[in-house]
Amino acid sequence: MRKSISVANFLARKLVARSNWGLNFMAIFMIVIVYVNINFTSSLLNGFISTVNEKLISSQTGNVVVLPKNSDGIESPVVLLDDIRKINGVAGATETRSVPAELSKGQEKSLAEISGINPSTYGDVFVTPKNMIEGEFLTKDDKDKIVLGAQIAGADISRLELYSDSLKNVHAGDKVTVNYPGGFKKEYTVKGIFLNEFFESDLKTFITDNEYGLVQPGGKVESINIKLEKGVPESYVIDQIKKLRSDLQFRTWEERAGFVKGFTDTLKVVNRILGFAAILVAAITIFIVTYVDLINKRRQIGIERAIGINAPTIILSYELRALFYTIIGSSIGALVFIYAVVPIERAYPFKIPYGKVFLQLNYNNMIIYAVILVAVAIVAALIPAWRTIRISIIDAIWGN
Amino acid sequence: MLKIKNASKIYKLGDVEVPALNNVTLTIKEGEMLCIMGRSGSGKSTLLRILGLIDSPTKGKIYLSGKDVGKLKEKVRSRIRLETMGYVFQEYALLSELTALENVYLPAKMLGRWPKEYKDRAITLLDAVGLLNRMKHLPRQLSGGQQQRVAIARAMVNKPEIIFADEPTANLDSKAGKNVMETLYWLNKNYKTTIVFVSHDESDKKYASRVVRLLDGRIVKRKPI
Repeated sequence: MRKSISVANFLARKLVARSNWGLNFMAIFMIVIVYVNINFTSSLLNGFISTVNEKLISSQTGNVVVLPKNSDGIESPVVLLDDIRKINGVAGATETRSVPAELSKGQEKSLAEISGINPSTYGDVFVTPKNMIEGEFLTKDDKDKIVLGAQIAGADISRLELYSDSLKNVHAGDKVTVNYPGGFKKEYTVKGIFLNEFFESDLKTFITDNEYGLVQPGGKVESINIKLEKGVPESYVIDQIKKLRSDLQFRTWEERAGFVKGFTDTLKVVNRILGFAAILVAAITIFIVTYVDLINKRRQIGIERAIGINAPTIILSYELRALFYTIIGSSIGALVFIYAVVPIERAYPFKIPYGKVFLQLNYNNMIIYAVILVAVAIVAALIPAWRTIRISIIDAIWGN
Repeated sequence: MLKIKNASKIYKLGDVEVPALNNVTLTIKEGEMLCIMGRSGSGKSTLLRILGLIDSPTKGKIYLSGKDVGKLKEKVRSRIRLETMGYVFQEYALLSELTALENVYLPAKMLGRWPKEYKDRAITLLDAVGLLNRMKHLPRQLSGGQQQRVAIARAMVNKPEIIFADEPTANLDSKAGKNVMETLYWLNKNYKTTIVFVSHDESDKKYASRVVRLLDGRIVKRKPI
């Protein structure tokens, strides 16, 4: 065995070093392309998913949503919020109540959910206060003020997905009328308009919790959104809150993802399909390179066998060469990806309706793809080598 | 040392059967230099390949040192070829990616000899065939005669009991051919290596201790010199 490995290694080194450098270059280049492609696709889709999820968490759900078990709302929310904020790993918590209503300005009308929020704590969980495109976010003492999502206000931004259903040309400082259920009607001044570039959250409208108490007296807190510090598992915080109260139920951001989850799940499937296709291309490349080379080397292999080099040794020499191509190709591909593709994409990121998408470098995935490529290369080289070895020595040398 | 008994070989070309050897019995004696002669298509190369365990007879048996080796698995035949036989092919048959030195020591490396041992022996053999100054050359950088002498050195590297040479001078000019035959003759005389060579050139028989003639796959004449 040791002798076979030694001779196979010797033959493989000579095969690579002294055979056609064009062939070597092409084989390695193809592996580089395949490796960069598979990592690029995967990183891009992961980046895309990450961007969407990040938007969802930062503008829509937080990491954990606390809900009442019954429809009466959350009891003693102030105490509960204080307790939640004391839990290790909680970065912020804020409460929300909401009611559906119709907004109008002039002839334009739009349906929206009016949320009563605590402006002092809302920014601890959500980025919305930082994403104002007009005016300012609410403060605790604001009266008769409302903040609108861009998909509701329109704000003359016709590229918005739901612009046609919006109020179209409402801007900060304008007056809008809100028709609450039961016929109660109130006019507000638009204090600001925000654009999170996540259209579900850009459909929100906010008034202060004090203001909400005026239009919906006795309205209880319907949900508490919690933001966690990086790396803190949702389950840990949920378990801690369960120890405090038994009248609550919990949803993680993934459970609240709704259509986003279906969307990201689809992308994950697409990612796997594209990855499989790229691996298949790599396998076919190695197969073709080995096959074409073996056709030209049939006589040489016959001679090797005639002088006593056994079949496993010859096959192993071609396996080692395929291994060399794959390891060098993957290594160069990894360097190209990490030091060229990723920095360039970071400088010029892709833009989608949810914001910028950055390639998400995942070293574990890169290693896994390299290992898969190596395994595939071994199989792809084995098939033609094994087929050639099965030809009789006479046929191999003299081509009978 | 090597005996072929009642051996026949029939090649199949589609549905057509082409007999190449017909009931041949031949014994190779230790230390002899046997020349197999015959016209083109007489079956001499087929006989050599069967004797050298590169091919198998359709019928008949082969004995090496009294042991039937005709039906052994390829793995075992490969080992026998490596340890006890050397080959010189008509078409030089060197590995194009290896230098002359590497071509010579490859079978010894496969046998598991130590690098210093096989490299020293390969250098000695290349010196013996007059190619010491060409040992780092690739086959394409050598003439036909030089390549054939490298092939002889390779055939000798594992100190084989027997060397088979299939028309070793066929593709060489007369001077290079003579050089190759003299090298084989020198090996036979100095190392007592048994040599079986195929030739259709009558002038080569002077190197042989025995000549076997083939016609249509049958031995027709044995003429001691």
